[in-house]
Amino acid sequence: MTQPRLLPDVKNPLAAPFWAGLREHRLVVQRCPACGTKRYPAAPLCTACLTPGGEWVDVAPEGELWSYVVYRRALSPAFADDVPYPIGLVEVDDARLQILSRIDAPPDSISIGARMRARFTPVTETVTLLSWAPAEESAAAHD
Amino acid sequence: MSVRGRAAIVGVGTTEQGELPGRSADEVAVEAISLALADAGLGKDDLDGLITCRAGLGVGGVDTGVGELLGIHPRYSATLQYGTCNFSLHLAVMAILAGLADTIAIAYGATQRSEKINFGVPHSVDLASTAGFVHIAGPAGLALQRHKYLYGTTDEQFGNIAVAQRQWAQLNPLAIFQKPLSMAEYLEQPYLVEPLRRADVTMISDGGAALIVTSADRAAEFPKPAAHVRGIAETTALDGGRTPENLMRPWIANVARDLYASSGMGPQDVDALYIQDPTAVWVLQMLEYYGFCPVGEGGRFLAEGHTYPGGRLPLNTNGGQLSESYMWGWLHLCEAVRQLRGECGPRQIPDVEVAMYCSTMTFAKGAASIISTSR
Ligand SMILES: [Zn+2]
Repeated sequence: MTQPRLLPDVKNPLAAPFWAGLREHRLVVQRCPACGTKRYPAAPLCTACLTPGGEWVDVAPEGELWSYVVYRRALSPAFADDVPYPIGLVEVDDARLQILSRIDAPPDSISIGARMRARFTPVTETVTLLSWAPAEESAAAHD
Repeated sequence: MSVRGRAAIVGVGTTEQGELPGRSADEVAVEAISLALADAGLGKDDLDGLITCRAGLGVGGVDTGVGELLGIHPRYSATLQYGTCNFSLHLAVMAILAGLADTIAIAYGATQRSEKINFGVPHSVDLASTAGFVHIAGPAGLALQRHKYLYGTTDEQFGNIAVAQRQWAQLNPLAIFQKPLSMAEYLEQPYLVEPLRRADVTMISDGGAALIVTSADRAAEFPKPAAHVRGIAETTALDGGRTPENLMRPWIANVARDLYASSGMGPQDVDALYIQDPTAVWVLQMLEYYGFCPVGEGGRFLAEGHTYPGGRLPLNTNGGQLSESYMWGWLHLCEAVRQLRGECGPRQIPDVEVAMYCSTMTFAKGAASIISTSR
């Protein structure tokens, strides 16, 4: 994946632990200290029971592809060099969290219901991005 | 509780649509109100209520600004942060029932085309945005891809939404996109955000729309036949939906249930249907949730041709946002009123008595109204 021109705000205190986790090739999300509900994206309080804060815990970075789209035209100039690019919504096995990101696979090879695993790609010294890849393929890439 | 027999629409105004360079959204909203007042045989000082709507992503639309430019000081005024007109109509009905006002202009003006608003700019710098998940075509495309996967909906079935609306638009002088669009031409269009093509996504345009709402007791005093409000309903999904299923927006079915219960009507009573369409996916979803076909059957229903001119379920006879103009749904209700009055010339539906308008505020809210020639 080429380096995206648009980079996330990894210093925002609310989400900084999430980005720190990606730098360590871990997927971490908040868990409510009172009711245990996990949440993504980061929020200042638990929307299930309104308890403030949350502890950051690891979740297995894998799940099932719920749906996907392929951007065939750049709707923002920031992505002009990237088209065509697929984006998928993966329902992470742990707590049915939904995480949307780029899919690292040719558009024609993507299918709903496929097992997906996270791929961690450092793009700058402070930013590592998560993308999704079909589970078998990404396992092979790490071997 | 039902609102039946309590309020009616007695004036409609629509400005030129397309590009209105050098004009502000508030100025365009005031022009629309002037046209609606003239249509209702009223002067601006007859208004005792004003409900405006944020000017899309552009500048303006606040009641204090529009009211100042209109030179009025009504008893009641308010601004809604979101469009589609349904929510504005409902607020007007509530204000009338509460005795806060009796002759209310509801209005929208936008100059998003001339302001060169880019709807593809990321809203934030989170993981999805930095991956390039921008524009309403993103989530709408996810929902359509899932619909195709679950129910076998085909591109051609789905394409009937854009193709039928273009046929209607060709009969509507106000519509911006008049060029014929055959199914073959639709299918030849490259994907924009696959599985959506350009024809499945709203245009961006300038323009204004306004309606005059009053108590049903006074409806006979006006020069044009009234469109009586027979039922209204809303729901929200403000919790944002923590599961992917929220992209399918199943909560829209709750609006349908409440609307039909409060009006005593059902889909079989609807002579003309209007569905707000920032993307054609919204039309597919709402056809199903409002009971015009079973959930999952939308594609097959569309392929049967019911929504085309001459079909048994005329749908978005103005051409909708896909072909008429992007007025955040406001022109749908204007068209519904004009159909009930019999003012629509070559696209006029014969013997139309009941029209229904369904809309949503993306993934957060839904609303619908039934209006009729009879009280
Ligand atoms: Zn909690």
